Parts: sequence; structure tokens; C-alpha cells
Amino acid sequence: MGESRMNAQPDFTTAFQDEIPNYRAITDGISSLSARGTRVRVAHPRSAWVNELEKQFDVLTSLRRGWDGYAGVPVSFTCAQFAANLVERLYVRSLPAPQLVPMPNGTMRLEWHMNEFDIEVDVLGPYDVVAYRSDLLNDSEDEIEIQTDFTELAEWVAALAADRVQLQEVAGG
Amino acid sequence: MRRPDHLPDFTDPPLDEVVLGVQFAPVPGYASVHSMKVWDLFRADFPLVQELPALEPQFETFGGVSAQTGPRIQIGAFPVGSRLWFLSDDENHLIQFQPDRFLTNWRREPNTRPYPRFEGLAETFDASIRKLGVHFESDFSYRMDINQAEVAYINIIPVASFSDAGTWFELWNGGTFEVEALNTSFNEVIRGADGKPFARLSHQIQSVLTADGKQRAFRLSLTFKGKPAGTGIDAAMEFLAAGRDAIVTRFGEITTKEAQRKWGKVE
Repeated sequence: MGESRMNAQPDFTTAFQDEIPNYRAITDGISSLSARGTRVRVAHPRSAWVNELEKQFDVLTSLRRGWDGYAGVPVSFTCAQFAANLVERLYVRSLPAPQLVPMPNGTMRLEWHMNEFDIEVDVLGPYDVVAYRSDLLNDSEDEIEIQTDFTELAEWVAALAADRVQLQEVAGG
Repeated sequence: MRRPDHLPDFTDPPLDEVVLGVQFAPVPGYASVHSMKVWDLFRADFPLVQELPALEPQFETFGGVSAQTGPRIQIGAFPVGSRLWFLSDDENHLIQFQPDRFLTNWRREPNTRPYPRFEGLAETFDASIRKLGVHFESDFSYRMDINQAEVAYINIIPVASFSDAGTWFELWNGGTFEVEALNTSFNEVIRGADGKPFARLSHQIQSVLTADGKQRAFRLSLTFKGKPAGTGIDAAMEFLAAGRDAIVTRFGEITTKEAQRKWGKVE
């Protein structure tokens, strides 16, 4: 059979892969092929943080107008989606999930306060993030603006896991 | 638009579908009743319509936990509305529209047609998205704020046996065992001149069967997705062209010389 005829065959389905739970085609959704009835099982890999915060995200995106007693609007769906993507990417098993704080203008903030660090991450929209860190032990502050690369912020979050006070006491003697 | 000379070219590539698309901040005030006017923009060339579930927003980010496939997280009620497909008469071309997405697909099926080449697709997409942008500005006072773009090439490579993967892909060095099914994926982070990541090139090879199980093929999907340098249409089109360049180059790298000869590689 010639290749052109083979290519003309519609409705290719995935071979024996419906038993693979984590399998998902990278073009799921945008490809029109996925609407032709493939039997791929879609999985949703999510961290414990996102599972824990899911209802809170729902609450923040469902706030009534004026929720803050003024003209506050609910967190925008797009902003929350990007924040959830970010939370998933920053996940550290040994740390608690961040606190989610709505902002009156429809944006939101992620916060951690632990081990003498304050980290606040303002999610202003997709690819528009500003993160602040206060180091209470060394009395220093940092700020980074982020679009796509969260490597430095992930390092900040990972550093939260260290018990710095104890480490300093050990180092001091 | 002229095809870059450095890209490998084939007279009979195994392409089954090409997708070009953008994601943008949702149009404020848009409701389902406005979709008729959007269809009117394209109706002359895309007279058929279908309604599908809306796509979730997706974002390519980097650093932190390295997820092979990005998390798919659905929060709250999805904005009211759906995704519309506007199809050409022959159903080989389609436009996908929802209040935060605009995509175009060329597919070989259902009426087998020659591939119109990226240049032709990109020019049509460019004209279509500008038409949509003008409509948004006039009816919604909204300037399209693009936050992500993507280009995908999906190839169907018919095979007699899945054990023949080494005949088609440089990645597979074969073996003497019989392969029942094959599914592999890998990603490359694409960095700009400043060294910062801005896109991801995703590769996937799957073994697929026709519904009756009689014909076998490999589906090779290459997707380039990320954040354009700006939020306007020009930046998105430049991103798509760069994505096409990366995809076609990579296709030439991961497929064998023997396979390329069968697809009529132009020397």
C-alpha cells in the first residue's frame, strides 16, 4: 500500500496505550485529530499543594464584587490559572502550601512566612510576576521580576525548608 | 513570505496536520451572542461551523519542578462559552476561536490535499488574526494582548511493524524483540539571545492503529510553544516562524536518511 493511501486513513488511534495512566498527547486539544475519537486516557498530574489549594482558588475566582468593602473584583480566571501553574512548578514536598491572598484589582499573591523569611509573590497576570523576599535573620530584602523563568524563585522557596536559626546556632558554636 | 533556504524540504512529507495558534487575555465583555459576528469575519472561506468544549489556558514556564507534561489545572467554573470551529468547504482547513484563543489548522483529511506549506498557512493566519484584531478594537475597544503562541506539526508515518522504528527515527537503535507499542516524549527548552528561556520544543512519538487495527503508523508530533517577545500580532508571527524553523530542523535531525529519501528530500 502506498504512503499516500496510508496517510489518507483517518482515525488512527493509539496502540495499546490506554492502559498507561500518565499518557497524554502533547497536541491534545489544539489538534483536530484528538476530536476523531482517540481512546487515550488523560491524566492530571498535580502536586499536593494544588490539590490542597484547589478550593481556595475557586473561592478567590468567585468573590463577589466589592468583597473588600470597596470596589474589589474577584481574582481573574487567567490570573488564577497562571498562579496555579506557578504553584505546581514551585512545589517542595517538605513545605506547606503558600497562603493565597486576593488583591482588589483582580490579581493575587502567594505568601510564605517561615524560617525567618517572608516571601510574597504577586501574580499580576500571565508571565507577569513580581516576587519579594525579606530575610529577617540578615535584615536584607530582594525583589525579582519574572516572566517565564522561575528558577530563582524556586531556589527562594526551596531555601525556606532549612531551619536557619538552628543552623546559625550550630555554626556559632 | 519566502521559505528559508537552510531548512530541509520534502516533496512528499508525512505531514497530517499543522496548527498555528495564539492565546491572549480574554476579550472583556465578550459573550456567546457575539460569536456570530466573529464567524461573519471568516464565513466566506469557512462556511461550516462546529461547537466544541473550550480549551483551558496553558502557560509554558520554566524552573522549579520539571514536569514532563505541564500541569493541567482547572479552577472554578470555566468562563461561559465554548470553542467554535469554522471549517472550509473541503474541511481541510479550520479556524478555532474562543474568547482567549485563535488557531488555524490545516489537515490532510478528510479530502486528501497537498500540503500548502507553512508560508501559505502563515500568510492566511496573519490576515485572519489581523481581521479579528480589528473587530475586537472596533466592537470591544480591546487591543489583542497575546501571551502565548504555538505551532505544531503532526506527522503520520505508516509502518508494517512497530519494530521498524529504527528505519524511521535516529533515536531508536532497534533490537531483535517485537515492539507491541511505542510511546516516547522529550522536550527541549529554547532560549533567547539573552540566555533566558522563552519556549519549549516538545517531541512525541506514538504508535497508532486504524480503528480496525489493520494498519499501523507512528505519529510524530512536534510542538513549539511559548511566550512571544511582545504582545502584538507581529511578535506572534515572528514566534511562529521561529517555531516552524525549529520544528523542521529537528524533523531533519531525528528522522533517518532512508526515511527522508522515501519522503522525497530535495537535495
